[in-house]
Amino acid sequence: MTPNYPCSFTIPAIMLIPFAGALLVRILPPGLSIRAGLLFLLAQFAFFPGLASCVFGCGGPAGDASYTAVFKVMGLLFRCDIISLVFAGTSVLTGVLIYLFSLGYFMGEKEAEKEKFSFWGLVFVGSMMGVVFSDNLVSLYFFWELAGLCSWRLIGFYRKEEDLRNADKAFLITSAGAGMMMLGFALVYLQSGSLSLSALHNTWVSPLVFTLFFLGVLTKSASFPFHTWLPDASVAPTPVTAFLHAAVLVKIGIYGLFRLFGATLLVTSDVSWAGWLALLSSLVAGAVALRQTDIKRILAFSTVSQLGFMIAGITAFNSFASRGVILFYVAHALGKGCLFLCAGIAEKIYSTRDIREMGGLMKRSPWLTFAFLVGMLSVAGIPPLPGFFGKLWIIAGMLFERRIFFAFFAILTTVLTLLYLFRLFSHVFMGEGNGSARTEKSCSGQMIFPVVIMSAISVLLGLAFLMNETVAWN
Amino acid sequence: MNNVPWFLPVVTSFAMSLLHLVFRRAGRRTRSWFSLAGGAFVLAGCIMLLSAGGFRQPPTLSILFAILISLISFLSLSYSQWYNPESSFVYDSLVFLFLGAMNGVVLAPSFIRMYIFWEIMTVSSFFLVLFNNTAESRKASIKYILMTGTGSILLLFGILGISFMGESLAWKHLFFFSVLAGTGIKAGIVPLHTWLPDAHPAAPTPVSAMLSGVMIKTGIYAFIRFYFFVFKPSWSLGWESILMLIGILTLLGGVFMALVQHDLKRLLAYHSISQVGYIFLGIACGTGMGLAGALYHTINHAVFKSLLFFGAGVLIKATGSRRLEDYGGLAGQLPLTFSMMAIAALAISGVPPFNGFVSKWIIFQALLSKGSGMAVLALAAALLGSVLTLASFVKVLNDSFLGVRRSLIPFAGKERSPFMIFPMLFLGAACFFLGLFPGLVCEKIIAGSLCPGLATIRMASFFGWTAILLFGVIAFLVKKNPGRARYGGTFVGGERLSPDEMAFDGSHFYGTIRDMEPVRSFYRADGEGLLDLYRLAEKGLPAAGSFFKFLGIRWIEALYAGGGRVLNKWVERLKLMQNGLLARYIIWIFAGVILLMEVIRR
Repeated sequence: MTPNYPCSFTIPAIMLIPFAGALLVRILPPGLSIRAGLLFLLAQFAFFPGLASCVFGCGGPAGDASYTAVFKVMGLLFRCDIISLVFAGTSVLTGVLIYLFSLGYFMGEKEAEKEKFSFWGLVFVGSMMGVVFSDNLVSLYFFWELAGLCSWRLIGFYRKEEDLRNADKAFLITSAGAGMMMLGFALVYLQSGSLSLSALHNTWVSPLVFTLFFLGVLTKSASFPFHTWLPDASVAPTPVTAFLHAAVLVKIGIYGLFRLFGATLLVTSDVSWAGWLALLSSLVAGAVALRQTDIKRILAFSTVSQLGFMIAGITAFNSFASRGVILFYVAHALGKGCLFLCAGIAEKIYSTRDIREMGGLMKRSPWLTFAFLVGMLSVAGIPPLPGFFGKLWIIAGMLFERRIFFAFFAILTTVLTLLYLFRLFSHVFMGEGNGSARTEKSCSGQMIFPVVIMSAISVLLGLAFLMNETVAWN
Repeated sequence: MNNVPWFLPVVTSFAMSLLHLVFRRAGRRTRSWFSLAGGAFVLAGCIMLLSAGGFRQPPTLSILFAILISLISFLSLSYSQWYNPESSFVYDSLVFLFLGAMNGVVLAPSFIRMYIFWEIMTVSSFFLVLFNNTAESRKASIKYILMTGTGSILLLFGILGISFMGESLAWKHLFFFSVLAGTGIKAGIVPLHTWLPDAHPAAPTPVSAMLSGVMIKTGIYAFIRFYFFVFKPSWSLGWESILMLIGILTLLGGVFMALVQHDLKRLLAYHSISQVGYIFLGIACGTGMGLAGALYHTINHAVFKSLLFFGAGVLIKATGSRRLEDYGGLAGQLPLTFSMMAIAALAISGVPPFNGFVSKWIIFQALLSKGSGMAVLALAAALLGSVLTLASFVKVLNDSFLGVRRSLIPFAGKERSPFMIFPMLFLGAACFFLGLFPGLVCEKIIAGSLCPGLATIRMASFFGWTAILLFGVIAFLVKKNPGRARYGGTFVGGERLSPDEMAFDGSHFYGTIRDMEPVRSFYRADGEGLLDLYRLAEKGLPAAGSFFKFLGIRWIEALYAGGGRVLNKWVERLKLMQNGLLARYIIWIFAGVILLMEVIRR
């Protein structure tokens, strides 16, 4: 595999821009920091069409390992195929919108806080890029842990007692999982003598390796029984939680599992227990979300539930389900990002996170309602929004593997999703509202605008999927 | 004309929906005519689809339903211009979205596309139910979306099961159950019906007419599609008696609940449930005659139920209330509404020569020719249901139109607008027409819609002609002796009674039945919410949530906290080795170096 010219340029550009940006944010005057970060992310996003053209220009059918753009530096190979492209592109797009939102969100904060957010957010995106483009398990591990570090700093954003405790909790749990994963990598190396993903393609590994790696994924993707750090992390400011849930952190786990066991390694024996564990996680989190009253915790448990659903989809190990996971990943990133940002706006308006004290937002702000609805319906899987197509293919894949009960429980989790999201909607948006809410001015257009953009992208994407996906279903 | 795409009516109404959003600043009159034109376009699209196959050819099941949906929706749109003249552009837009999605459900060529339209239909109707944004409509719409949303997801499971595991047949019962529950929630079968009596009253009246007249029919359509095209021909299922039992329960449950209602729209909603029971009985027969009866009853129900809702809308506008107690003696003021509601009430009760009689008759015949014990039971239940329906509607007519005029508010609308007179007259005439000439529809239209493998039926419609003759004679006699009637006061025992003493309320019509023993405990159970799956789930789910919360949060958190404490203790011990004295660190370094050298030496 020789590096072809445009790819040897775009991949390093995309990987380096956020880190370079993070350094510059430290140097520039603090008043500009978020704006500068936004510019850097936009510049990074501008490279994606080029990357896409060179990935698709490499020829070959989808899913083929040769169907990649590669870039080599210091013996470490970075490559990009369709999966990486989709995961990276979604992250950066979501990141851009979150930065746009945080311009309004951090309006009244101190400059130092803005700079802190901008710096760590850029490093966060950069480490996500590192994870998805790594062809080497060592660099993958490095960026994986770098992302954990960023999350630790960002969850404890305001350095209060509770923030710090929750940040420590998140970091300890995820890095313990990463340690397990490291052990799995060592076993893989002992067995096959290589840590390069392209060299490991279609290698058979033992269930032990799978288990070790799966533990790493469960901790990173906040699945039962390692999920508790994610709801606690909702103490962080909204753009940070949106980053954690939609753009970067928990998605790294999904990507890792997908890359290693969905596309590279093969497991020698049946590991359907992993799928059951993921579904259990999904069900438990869905049921718990029904009982929460804190808007951000509801959404956090919803994320746990959707992640379980995606992991269960990956463990069906077939092309239908894989397709579904990729579609659902994109839908969830946009939809959940949108929901979190809307929750942030609602929190600013009502100065509380308790949904029982909210109400009547529908009359107050129709655009916000529109955005929330699109995000909600997409996550709940209502056609023609993108989440539906992901759900459709995941369940189709499970049924294709003849796992009826598996599919049935997956269906149950989507019922739960519908229940708690509509509960949330009815509390926050319907109703008469209460007097304690602040006036219209506080939810400025600057915060609503990116949310509406996000939901518009969701709608367009859903229509594109509608054109593309239903053709196969005659 | 031969290649009219199936999505023509769907795209037309989605485009109308979009145009309403774009031209939201247009004047009220413009938008009103625009809506009507849109409805007419959609209807024309459906007729083009029909003509594409040739008018002589019988239409397919899809086109039959599409025409029904578009026609009733067109009439509702017209009625809506009178009923809801101040409606916002959001309302108009949503109605067209809803209409397009319903057309999409019945016209879509594959199950998955049908499902996509199904969900659009569910969400758009959720907003229509919510539209008034009162406390009642908020509660009803949430109940509606949660129940039907759950149903849709079950339906999706069934569709995917058929698509991906169709050949195995091992799980056909599970898939059939999913499809039955998914479509049945929409159609309102007992015990999945409980969204219906809440959602219909909460919605604006023209929307109620659409919900009850045609939306629940999409559930029927989907069930027929699955049952007769997928499950019945190729997978032998033993579900016929279960379906029949569901039909009986739906029929009787609906009508018994309707009997005791005093909210007019709620009463009509319960009657919708009960009529769906008739339709289900027809389907459950599984024969050509049964299906023909079911389809014909579907058409008829759409006709008379929307007429009833339109009439109810007039009453609500006239009195500002939905309660039967607030009506009374309105026949003189609202003659058109009175006569049309009387026609519709007779039609729904199955009194000849109206349309309801014919379709019920076909269903009864299908049940008789089925001949099984369950079918005979169903026949008895159906007859009882008809009687109770009549009793319930006599109560409605008595309370609202006859008797003494009770609290009346000034009524601005009156029965003058053509927007409202036209749909009501049209539907009233249709009740007659479909009852008098059943052969026209049954033979030429329904027989062709039947699925392959089922026998077609022939209808003799001679009794229609005798009825016309009879009516002609009566009309002639009445015309011949004008002015012979004498009007006077009301006397009892030679004394003129005061109006207050004369009035008696509608509960007299069902008091006896309500107090009979098995029926009484039924009402009691319903009052306690034991028959409402939603309310049961409302109680049960939080309990499950609490359990999982205990499992998922408390327990795991305790585990983490305990783990943290143990870890801390160990770390404290490690501290002893690092007491900050340089000497101790130097000892450690030496020890380490010695160990390292020992290792390297080997």
